[in-house]
Amino acid sequence: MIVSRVALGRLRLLRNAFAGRGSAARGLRHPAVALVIVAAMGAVAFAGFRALLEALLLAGAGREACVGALGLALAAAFAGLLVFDLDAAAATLLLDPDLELLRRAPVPPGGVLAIKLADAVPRTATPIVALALPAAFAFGAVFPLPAWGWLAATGAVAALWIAALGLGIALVLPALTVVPARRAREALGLVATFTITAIWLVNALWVPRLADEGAEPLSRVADAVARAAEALAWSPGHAAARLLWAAHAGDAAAAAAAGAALAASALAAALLAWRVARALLPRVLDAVAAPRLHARVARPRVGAARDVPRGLAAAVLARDRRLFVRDWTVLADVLTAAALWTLLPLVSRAVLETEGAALARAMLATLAVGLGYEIAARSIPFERRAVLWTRLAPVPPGAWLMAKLAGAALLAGPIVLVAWAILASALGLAPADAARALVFAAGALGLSLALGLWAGARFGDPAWVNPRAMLNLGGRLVAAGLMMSQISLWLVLGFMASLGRGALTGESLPWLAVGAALVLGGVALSATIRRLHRVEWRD
Amino acid sequence: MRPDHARPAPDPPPLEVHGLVRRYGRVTAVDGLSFRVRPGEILGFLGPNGAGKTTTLRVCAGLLRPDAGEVRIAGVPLAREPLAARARVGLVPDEPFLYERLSAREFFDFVAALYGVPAMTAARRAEALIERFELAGVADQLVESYSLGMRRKTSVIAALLHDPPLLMLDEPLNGLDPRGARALKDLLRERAAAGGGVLVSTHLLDVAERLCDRVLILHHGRTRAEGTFDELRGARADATLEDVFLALTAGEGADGAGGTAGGASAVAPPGAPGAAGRGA
Repeated sequence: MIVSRVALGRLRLLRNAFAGRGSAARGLRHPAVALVIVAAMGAVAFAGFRALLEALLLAGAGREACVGALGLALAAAFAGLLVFDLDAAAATLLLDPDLELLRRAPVPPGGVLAIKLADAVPRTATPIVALALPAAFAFGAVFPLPAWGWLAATGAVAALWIAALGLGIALVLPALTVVPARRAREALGLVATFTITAIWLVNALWVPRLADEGAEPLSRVADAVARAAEALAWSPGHAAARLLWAAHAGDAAAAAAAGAALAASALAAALLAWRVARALLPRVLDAVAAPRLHARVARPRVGAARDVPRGLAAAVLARDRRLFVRDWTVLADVLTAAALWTLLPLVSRAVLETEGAALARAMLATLAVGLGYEIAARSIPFERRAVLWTRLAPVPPGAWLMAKLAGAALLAGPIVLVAWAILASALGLAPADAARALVFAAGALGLSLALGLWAGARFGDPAWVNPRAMLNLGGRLVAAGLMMSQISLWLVLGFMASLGRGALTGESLPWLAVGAALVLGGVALSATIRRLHRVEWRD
Repeated sequence: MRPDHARPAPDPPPLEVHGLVRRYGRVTAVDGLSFRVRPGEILGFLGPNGAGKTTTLRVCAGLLRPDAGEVRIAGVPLAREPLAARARVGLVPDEPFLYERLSAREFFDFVAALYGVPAMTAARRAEALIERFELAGVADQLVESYSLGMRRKTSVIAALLHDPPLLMLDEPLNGLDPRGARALKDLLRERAAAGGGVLVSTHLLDVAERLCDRVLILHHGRTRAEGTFDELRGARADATLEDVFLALTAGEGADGAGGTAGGASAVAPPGAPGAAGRGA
């Protein structure tokens, strides 16, 4: 009875959210926007995967390659659920504000677990809706399935979902008995960051080589897929892929065998989660209700010789430095992201013959633009609701913003300088080329930091729980668009500089670009100051 | 020449509010509110949930903009000189928003710098308040390990570092243990005795009755009564503040009167349900 009433309450919440009631569900924060984005991602995945399968068939690849490709996609969705969305599931389970209410209600721990898992479903749906289902449907579009095959495809994806969530819960709960929930979430976030790093490195260094000049790209892709599929043949994703192929071939016995393997893995994961939850959930919930954080001492104090910051800028910088150094998830995320943004242009290096100076400019520009998002856009929401004290104090918004800009520049600047020094040395740049690349990077960094601060002030979410999502969804979309625009702009300018080398335009272009970037950055900062003047404290 | 001209001008009231209006969309949270906190006075701000207390405090602290009306902090108009006005007010918000990964001492250093308090002065004030609120043992630990009461004390100390003439507190006793609550109440009385103004928004009527010199009862964003307890009790000498409060805030649809400008007499709207609190 209670569970059904809770379910009814959840439906009402959903209805209110879609009806746009409350400020949290308006504009770009409306849940329909998230649905549209995920649906668009799904549509792209469907089209891309269908094109891949058709290309593989045209290239003469056999059944193994196509089934292997589907298995890889489903295994990737499974891994994505485990790595990227487990922190969302853990947060839903342990950190939602209604948890205490549910615990006080006469609901057994199993009921609480069931309710919170149901709550976790929409928050963990992205890998399913954006990858697993489109891949399965694309496979069905290329290899026609009977009616029961479509049902089997849906069931297979649901089984993958259950297996991933069950396994994740079984892994997370024991950890939560010894690690506070917040620390566990931070660790999960870090695991996600490192996974992204690995994916990016593969994407940047390995995938482009499949399409290297002078080879047969599709046959390389087919070979790579077959090898990967062979290595992951034991995974639930491949069991699901075999099920769909058997459905296409009308082989009911093989389909039943693959389906049984898949169902067994889902059931085993669910049972494991159930056993672990039964044994550990009450203890974990008690720990969540009364967290015992180890009292970290900030700094031993010696007499009156305190390192007291003098002036607004010094105070903001000292505060930001302390917060940043002590938040190792954000620190690791920024450093990892810096490496990834630098490596991004290597994707083009694998397929294009790029001159060293142009490559250095491109790498530094993408790094600088990336840091605008990774550092500057997080600078304001990073303060969470404690930013209230800056609003209460007699601090002009412009002065405060300049201090934030200085803090972001002090963090981003050395990263760019280190990358510049490494690139100049590794690529053997002439001093003049190295200097031009640095000027280019400085312009890109100035503009990106200004735009990042604007995005943070406009879209920052002070209640963020994931370091990768300090902006709300709409803000992340806007920030992504701004980054793409900036990267395109700097790549075009870099290309023009390469063409005009030796000519007046070639020599002066970096300086002109920097000047324009500073003007645009000034406009962005001015808009941010106006925003800070206008913004109110309603929460 | 009139003798008054030779005297120095009296200190302006720590807080003056005239005709304050604040709306959220179609909802009017504060509706033509006027009141004054005098020097040396603790004014209790009472009202049922949604009466507009927190909104009023946030407008007076510069966190929200008024739709109409004027707020003066120690004589400085908030709308025209927001920075100068903010420098003269300390707010202890209803939730102690703090930096989880700063220690209390680091946080005080930061807040003092925001208010431009000299480092030595800030350190002296902070240490005195740390001792007073018994935070010395934890002041170098990160705030993330603090209890709600310790966070509340940290928030109070931060609001006092610049020694503002006006201190506003929103439900300040939430989460405080009896010793902490006593320390805070003593501190507020001392500040009032030193000539400062204190505005305390609270639901704890017994606390308000013992702590405050006057109370203002707010309902639907309007003043329902204002005055000392004796004035609010009126003819019913045996009535408690709770009786007065419940009588004044019972029922819906009463057209509350406009506010007062800080007059000493109790004010209640004509026809308001229950006349227990009417001093006139």
